[in-house]
Amino acid sequence: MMSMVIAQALGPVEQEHLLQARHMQALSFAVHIPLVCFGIAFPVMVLAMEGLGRRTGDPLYTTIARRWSRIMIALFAVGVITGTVLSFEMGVLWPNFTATFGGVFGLGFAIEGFSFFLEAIFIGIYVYGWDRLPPRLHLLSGIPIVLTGFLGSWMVISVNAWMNHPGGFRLDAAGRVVDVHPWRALFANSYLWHEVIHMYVAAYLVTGFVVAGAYAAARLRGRWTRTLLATLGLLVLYLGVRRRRLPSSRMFWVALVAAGPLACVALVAGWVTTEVGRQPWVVFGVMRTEAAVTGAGVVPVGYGVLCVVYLAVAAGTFWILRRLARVPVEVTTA
Amino acid sequence: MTLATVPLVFVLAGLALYIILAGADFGAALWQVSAPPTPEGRRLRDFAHHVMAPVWEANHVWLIFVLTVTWTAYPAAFGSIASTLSVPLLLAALGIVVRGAAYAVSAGTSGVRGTRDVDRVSAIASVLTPFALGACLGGIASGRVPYGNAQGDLLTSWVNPTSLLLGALAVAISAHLAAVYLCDDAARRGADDLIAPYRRRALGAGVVAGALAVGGLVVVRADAAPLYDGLTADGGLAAVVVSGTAGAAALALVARERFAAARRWPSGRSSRAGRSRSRPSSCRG
Repeated sequence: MMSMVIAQALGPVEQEHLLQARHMQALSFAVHIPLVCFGIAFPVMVLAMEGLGRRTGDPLYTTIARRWSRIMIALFAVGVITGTVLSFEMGVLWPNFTATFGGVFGLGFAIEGFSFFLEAIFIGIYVYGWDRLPPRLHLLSGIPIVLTGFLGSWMVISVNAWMNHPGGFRLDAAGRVVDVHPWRALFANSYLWHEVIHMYVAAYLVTGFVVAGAYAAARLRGRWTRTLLATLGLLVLYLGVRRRRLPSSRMFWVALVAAGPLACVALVAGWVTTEVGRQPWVVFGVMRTEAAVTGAGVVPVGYGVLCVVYLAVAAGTFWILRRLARVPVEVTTA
Repeated sequence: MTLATVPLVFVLAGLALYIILAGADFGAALWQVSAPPTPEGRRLRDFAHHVMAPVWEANHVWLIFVLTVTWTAYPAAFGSIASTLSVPLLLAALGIVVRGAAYAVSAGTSGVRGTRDVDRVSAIASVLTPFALGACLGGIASGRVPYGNAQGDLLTSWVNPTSLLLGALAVAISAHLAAVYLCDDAARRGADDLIAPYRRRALGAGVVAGALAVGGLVVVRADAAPLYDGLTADGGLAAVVVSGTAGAAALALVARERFAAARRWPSGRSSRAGRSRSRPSSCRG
């Protein structure tokens, strides 16, 4: 393997705020990753509801699908923001990482960008097309959202797998990156598949538990509607409890409420394990994190501003979701 | 054209699309907040929001496209630019976050009080992002971003005459583009009472943008002689002439209320802006 010292493309660097730079990156990921879970799993759930509505003719499912599709686009919008921040940070915080290895892993982000573009288009068609498209076509317009949500996150995970288990290039005698094979680097990597599967299972768990938890909380507060009942019935089935009737014990509902945030904690803890476990390397065994960081002195200020802005975005998101949950959606027959 | 400059074509195409599409969105936010607190002002605000809301997140895809192609094809240039210009890039990201958050919040606030505060915050953000990105281009174009990890000055690399000029120009172009689009949309959707106010705004912002572009040549000449030389010879001169002609044609069409045609002209104009600004980066390569 590669054991020699890497030549940093931009030269050596001194950064006294390395830890803050890592914290800032960690905060940005921790905020983005739960939204990614919704990007992967939620479209499938929305389409399942719409499909059930079409098959059974029960307008309740369609009503749920419509309500969820509004939540889906709101969360997608927040995910676009946090994702844009991440793409800026790749350069602003870790210029020597992108400068040295951009040619090796950049392909993954290029494909991700393309699939993200398609996702944005189809999510718009789907959500704004409820009353404008024939029902069958509307259902079909949701399928690209599922596929692109899958493809985009798969690409990002391929870059992460490469950072954990780098390949597809060689270091020459001077320590420069040569002989680059981006496809091999990203997709002929034995770490890719377990990371992808792990992430997808996690995405479904997080989304399922967060949605179930939100409805369970509403039930505990006594807001007990038919929508709620149908949704919970489906979700609990979805969670693997194969009974027709929902458990009545209060403990079950309290546990379900707790499961949402706990699933998010488990998700973030999993990523902390992956990322901190690789330290002190950014590219395992090849480039240390301290060699990748920016030389600019703006890190602490940037970190502070990001904390404030993300707190505001979190408060805003919570508020929107509460409002969207409260606005009555009339039962439709479409 | 050599193989090394092929990705640059994609970067420029993406940049032009970003300036046209996201620029119009940022400009619309500017018109939202500057609308007077009258019934007409409210109609102007609501209409701008209504037109832009379904498309805004797709716009930022072009910026992400530009970023990813640049760091894949020109990693060392990307690292140098991102580290020296980290302050304006973070400001631009901040503006995008706030604008996006404002859209997300207003998805839950249709017809609610408080929308005005959301508009106000998002308008500040909407000036910040085009200005900061224009200032970045100014720093690169005037040769203030050296090779290396944060080797340029963290402040003067983007607070300098060329950067301030391009920042202001970016804001003015955004405002002009937005007003032209909104005129056309108002005409299409039968909101006839909104055509005249948007037309006034389109003409005003267009004149300001034109004055900045022409007057800016003096600034560029004093501050960044190589850039000025590039803009006044060969391809650069041709681009400036095309830009001036297209800009004047767009203004004439707006003045004569031919909005759909005008909508196409500023596009040519903005891609000129992308082309002439990024010229020095191709010199660097």
